[in-house]
Amino acid sequence: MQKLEASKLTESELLGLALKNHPSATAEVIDRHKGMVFNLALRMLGNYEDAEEASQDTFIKAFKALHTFRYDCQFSTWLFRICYNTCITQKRRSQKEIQKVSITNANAGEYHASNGETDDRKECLIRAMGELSKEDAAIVSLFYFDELPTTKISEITGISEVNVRVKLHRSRKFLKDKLHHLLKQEAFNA
Amino acid sequence: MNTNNIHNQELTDADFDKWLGETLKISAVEPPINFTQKVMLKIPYPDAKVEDDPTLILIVAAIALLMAMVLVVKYLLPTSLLDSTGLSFIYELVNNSWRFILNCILVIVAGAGLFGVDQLLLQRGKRDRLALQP
Repeated sequence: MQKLEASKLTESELLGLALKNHPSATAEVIDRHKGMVFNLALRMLGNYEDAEEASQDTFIKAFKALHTFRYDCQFSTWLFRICYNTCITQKRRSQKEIQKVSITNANAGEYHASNGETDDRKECLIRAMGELSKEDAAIVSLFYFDELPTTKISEITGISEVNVRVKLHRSRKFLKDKLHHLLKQEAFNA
Repeated sequence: MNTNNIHNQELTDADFDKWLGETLKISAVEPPINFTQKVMLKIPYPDAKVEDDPTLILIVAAIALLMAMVLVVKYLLPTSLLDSTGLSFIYELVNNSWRFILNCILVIVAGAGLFGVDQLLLQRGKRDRLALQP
């Protein structure tokens, strides 16, 4: 099967083919979900290399266990759950202090901004996100970046929905306080 | 974003939510260019099973059928029946085939025996090497 044909298939068709070890279908599934998985890992781990390793592990685990996927939830939700657990395990495993390298500086060649927003604004947010716990960073990322409802976030993280809302509220307040200064500065500059 | 709110230094939750969502999206990082290839190389693909390959199924079925035919002709069909119908050459053919099959089985068994001895010696060599290590 050509790559072009695989891109036209629906997710369930692709998963069916991937289950039969079809390489093009497997590659297409990875291509469709790598961005969101990688960004969740990055927000949780705060390091480009660790995020790459965690997101690779996520896909490997997912394809090894694909036969256990029962279609009782969206594939992306299932993948997020694997990624979340992988990042938690990875963070626990590496007890060494991870130097939070600036994403932009560490991977200048591979960083592709979506538009011409200032790097300062992004850097400031990334730094503030880095100060959140890995669970809180994941919740913020899933809610604001992936636009998932709190019910799905609860499914992914295994934290009750009420707790997700509480954590989200606290994280929002923390980020708002941290970033308020930057926002005011932007308003003055505008 | 509502600029009046910012100028009044009263940033609403809705404004902040909007700003946070937008900023997180524009700060999204692309995974490495060869990410998919790297993952594909790490995904273990199981070896093809006999039951998944139709060609292998056909070959196995054909061999089984031939063996069954040879056995039926050799042991179940009376020789007199073949003689009376003028098909005694079939009996000759089956006898030759049977001899060939026996030779094949003998070669396979001998090969398996040699492979077994080789594995045994390898294991023993490994054990001896480990024992010699300080």
